[in-house]
Amino acid sequence: MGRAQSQYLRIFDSSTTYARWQTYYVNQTVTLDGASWEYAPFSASGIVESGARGGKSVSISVPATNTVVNAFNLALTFGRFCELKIYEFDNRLDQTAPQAGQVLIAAYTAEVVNVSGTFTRLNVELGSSLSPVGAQVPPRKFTSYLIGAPLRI
Amino acid sequence: MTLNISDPLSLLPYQSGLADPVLIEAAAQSANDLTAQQQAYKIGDPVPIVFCRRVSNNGGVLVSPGATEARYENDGVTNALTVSLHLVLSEGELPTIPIKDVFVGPCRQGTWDQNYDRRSGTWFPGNFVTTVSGKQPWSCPYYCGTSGRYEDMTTLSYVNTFVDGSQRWNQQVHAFVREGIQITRIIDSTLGPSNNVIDLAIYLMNKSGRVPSTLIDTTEMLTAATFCDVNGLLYNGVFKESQNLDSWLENTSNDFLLRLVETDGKFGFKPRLPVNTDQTIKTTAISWVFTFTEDHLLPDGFEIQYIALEDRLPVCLQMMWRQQPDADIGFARTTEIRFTGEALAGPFEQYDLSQFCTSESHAVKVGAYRLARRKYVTHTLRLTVRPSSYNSTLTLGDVVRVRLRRETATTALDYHDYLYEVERIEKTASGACVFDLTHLPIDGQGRSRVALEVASATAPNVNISAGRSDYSCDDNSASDNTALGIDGIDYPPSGGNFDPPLFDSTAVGIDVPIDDTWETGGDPPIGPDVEPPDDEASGGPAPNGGWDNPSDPLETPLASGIITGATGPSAIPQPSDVLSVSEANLGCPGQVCWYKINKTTLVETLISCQNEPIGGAWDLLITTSDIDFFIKAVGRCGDPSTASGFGVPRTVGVVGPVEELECFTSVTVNYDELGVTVLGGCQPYPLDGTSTTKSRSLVSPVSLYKFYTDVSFTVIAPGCGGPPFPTYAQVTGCDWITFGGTFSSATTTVPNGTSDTLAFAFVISKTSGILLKGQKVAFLIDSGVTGAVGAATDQFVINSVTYNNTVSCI
Repeated sequence: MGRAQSQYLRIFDSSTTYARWQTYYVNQTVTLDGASWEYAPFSASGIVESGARGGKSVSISVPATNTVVNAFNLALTFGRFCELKIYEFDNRLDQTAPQAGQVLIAAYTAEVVNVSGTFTRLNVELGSSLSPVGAQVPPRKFTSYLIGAPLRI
Repeated sequence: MTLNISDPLSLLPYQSGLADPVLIEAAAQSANDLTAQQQAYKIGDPVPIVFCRRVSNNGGVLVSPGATEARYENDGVTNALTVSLHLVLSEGELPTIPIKDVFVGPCRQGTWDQNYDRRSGTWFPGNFVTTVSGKQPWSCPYYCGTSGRYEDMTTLSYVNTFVDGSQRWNQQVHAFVREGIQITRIIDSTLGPSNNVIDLAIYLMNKSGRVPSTLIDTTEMLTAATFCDVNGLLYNGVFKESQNLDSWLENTSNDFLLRLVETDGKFGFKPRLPVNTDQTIKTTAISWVFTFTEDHLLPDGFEIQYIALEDRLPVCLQMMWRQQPDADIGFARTTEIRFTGEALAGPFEQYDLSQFCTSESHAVKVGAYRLARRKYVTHTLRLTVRPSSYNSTLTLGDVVRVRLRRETATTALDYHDYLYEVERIEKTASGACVFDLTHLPIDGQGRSRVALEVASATAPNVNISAGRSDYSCDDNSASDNTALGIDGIDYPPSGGNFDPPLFDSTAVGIDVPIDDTWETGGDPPIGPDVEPPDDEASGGPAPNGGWDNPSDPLETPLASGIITGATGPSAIPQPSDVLSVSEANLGCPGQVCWYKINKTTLVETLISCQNEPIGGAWDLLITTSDIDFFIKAVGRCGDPSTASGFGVPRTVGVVGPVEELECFTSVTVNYDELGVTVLGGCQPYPLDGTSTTKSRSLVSPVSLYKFYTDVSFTVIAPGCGGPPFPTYAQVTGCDWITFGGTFSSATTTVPNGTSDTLAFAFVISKTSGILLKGQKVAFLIDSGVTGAVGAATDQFVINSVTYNNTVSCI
C-alpha cells in the first residue's frame, strides 16, 4: 500500500495569489506548478461534489497564527477565493517534494463564507454565497430613484 | 474535536429530486384574468425579467406590466375619458413589440410607445378629470406618480380614450412579448433574446452578484444548454416573484430534466437522463465506468434506502403548460400523463409549468420522467469505499455498477447487482470515499428504463381553440406588425410636472475608509508593541496608556508590615520592646497570634495568641529569649460561621531578627592616605558599595561626605583635591542629623609621616550620650582649602574602626 494524499490550499482573487499552503511536507516549502507552497498544518473536512441539495460546503481547520488570521480575515472582507486541491501519490517513492506523477483527485474552489473558532484554531467554511437567505432574484427592485413616487391606484 | 456528519441517506431522494416536491393545488400561474384592474408597481417590488424567444411558432409570454405613472383627463362635453399609463415591461432591453401584440384587457387598443432606459410617452401624469353636467363623474386615482429614471428598463406608454360610462377604462393592459431581454446566448455566443433556461440561470447568477464568474462551470453550462435546446425544453416566461436563487436553480432545473451540480466548487447543470454525445436522450444500452465489489467496501460501508411508499404509488400527473397561439392571447392547458390503465380515477398530482413552458412536448417529457422514476427507481445507495483509482476518475453523473455477493445459505449464492448513477461524491480527509448513488433501472437490453419512457413520450400536439368569438373590441389589427412608437422623454425635463429624483436625493454614499487596516479590524488601540503591564490593577505604561481597568478592592493586598514598637535601628526589635498590631491596622476585630522564627533554621514557634485586642491593639513583649529570632504576627478576622470563630489567617507583619545593642563611648577611625594624584577637580570616589556619596554645604567649597551604613566596615574614602598633607582639621564634621548629636574631632591623631603612604586616625564621639553599633554615621572629609579644585587629589583608606569603652545601651 503506497497511497498518500497531500492537500494544497490557495487564497487568491482575479489578479493576485495571497497565500499558498500545503499540509504534507512538514516545515518545508515545496514547489508545485511553478509556485512555492509553505507548510501550514491545516486539515480539510473533505471535498463533496454533489448533484443534490445539501453538503456543498467544505470546512478547513487551521492554526490561528497571525498570518492565517489576517489571510482569512481579508479573504472574508474582500470575497477572495480559496482553492483546495487534494493530490494522490505513491509514498513509497520520493517523500521530500511533490512527485511529478502525483494525481489530482479532488479540487474545490469557493469563497470564504464563514470563519469561526477559538483563540488557537480557526474553522473556515468554504462555499458559495448562494445562501438560503439573502440571494434573492430578480436582483433589482423598484426604487425611488427608478420610478419616483409611483401611481397609487 | 470536529464532527463531520453527512446528510442522512433518507434525505437523498428529496435532495436529488427523486421524491416529489410539495404539491400545490392551485390555478395555473399563467391563467391570469385579462380584465382585472390595472396594477401599479410599488416601491420595493422586484423589477420583472421577461425571458423568452418565440421560435417556430412556439414561445413568447403574455406580460401584464404594472403602471408607475398615469394621466386621467375627460372631455368637457362628452365626458370621454382619456387614460394614459406609463408601464415598466421588463428589466433590460427588449426588441420592439408590434402593435398587434399589445392589449387593453382582451382588446387591441390604444396608442403605444416603447423605449429602453428612458421614460416613454410625452404626457405629464396627473388627474385632470372634471365633472360634466349630466354625466356620471369618473372616479380616477389622484396620486398619479412623479416619474423616475427608468434606468436599464424597457418602458411602455399607453394612451386610450374611453366613451362616457365605459367600464373598461381601468382594465389591465397586456403585452405579448415574443422576444425577451437580450443576453449573450451561451450556445451561439450571440447577443439576442433567448429561450434557454441556462442563459437565464447564468444571467441571474451574474446579476445577483453572489456567484463570481470563476465559480460558473461554462463547459457544463454549455452542455446543459445544448441538452435543453436539442430536446425542446425551453423557457418562455416572466420572472417577477422574488425568491432565493439557490432554490430557484434547484427547482427550475428539475422541470428541464437537469440537476444543479457543484463540481470542484463550480456550479453547473447536468442532464438527469443518460445522453448521447449530441445530447439527445440515450435509448441504447448503458455502459458503466466502474464496478464496485466487496473488495472496495469498508466495514459498514453499505447503506441502502428504498423510496417511500407515497412516492411509488401509481398516480396521474396533470402537467400544466401554456398554449401560445401566434395571433391571440395564450392560455393555460393541462395534459394528463399516466401509465396505461393506472390511476384512472386518481390520485392526481399537479405540476404547473405554465409560467414558462409553452410546449406540450416539454410538459409531457417532464411528466414522463417523473412518472417513470416513480415506477422504476426503487432505492438509493451510499457506499463507503477505500481509496482507489476511482478517486480521480469518477465524477457526478457517471454510471457505476455495484455487484456484491450475498450468501444466505451454504448453497444459496446471490448478488446485489445493479447500475447506479453517481449523485454525490465525498472525498474525506482520511482518504475514504463516500458515494451516494441513485438506482438506474435498465431493461433486458441494458437500456435505461426511465430514458426510454421519456424519449418515447410524445405529446398529442392538438391545439385547442382560444375560445374567443368576438374581436369587435379590437381597434388595432391582429396582423399589424407596425412597431410601437418611440416617443419619450430624456431627463432632465424641460419643465412641466416631471420631477424625477436625482440620485443624490435618494442615496447616501459613505466614504470608504482610507486607512489600510480597516479590512482586518483596524489597529489595536494600544499598538502592536505594547509592554506587559506592571503589577498594577490598571496596568502599566504602554504607548497609549495602561489597561485602564478599574482596580478591584477585593483583589488589593491587605495591609502588611503593620507591626509597631521596635526601637532599634532600621526598626530592629530589642529586648524589652513591646511590639504591637493595632485593631485599626488589622482592619477588624479578631485574633492575632505571635510567632518567632529562628533566623538560622527558620523553624517557627508560636509565642502566644490573643483573641481580643487590649486597648485597641494586640501586644507582644520582647525578651532576651527572642534574640536572633524573627517575630511574625498572624491575624484573623472574626468569622462566626467557622468552628474557631475566626476566618482565614494572614500574615500581617514580620520584623527582626531581635538583637541586643552594643554601645560605645567613642569610635576610632584609622585611615591612610594612598597618594597624591592630580585630578581635574574635586570629585567623589564612591568605591564602596555600602556607602552613598552626597554633597553638602557645611563648609566652602562644597564638600563631600560618605554616608556609611555600618562603621564597623572598612571603606575607601573619597578623595578630593586638597593639600598634600591632610590634618585632623580635614575631618571637620559629621552628619549629626543622622548621628543624633554633635561631632567632635578633638582627638584626631596627628599624621605620622610625610611619605606617600601616611596613616591617620581620628576619634569621634558624641558630646552627650553614646555611640550605638550599627548606628549610621557620616564623616566629612574636607579638602580644607578654599578654591583648591584642580590641585591634587588624595585617596584615603580607612584601615580599621575601633569601638572604645563598651557601655550599656540603656
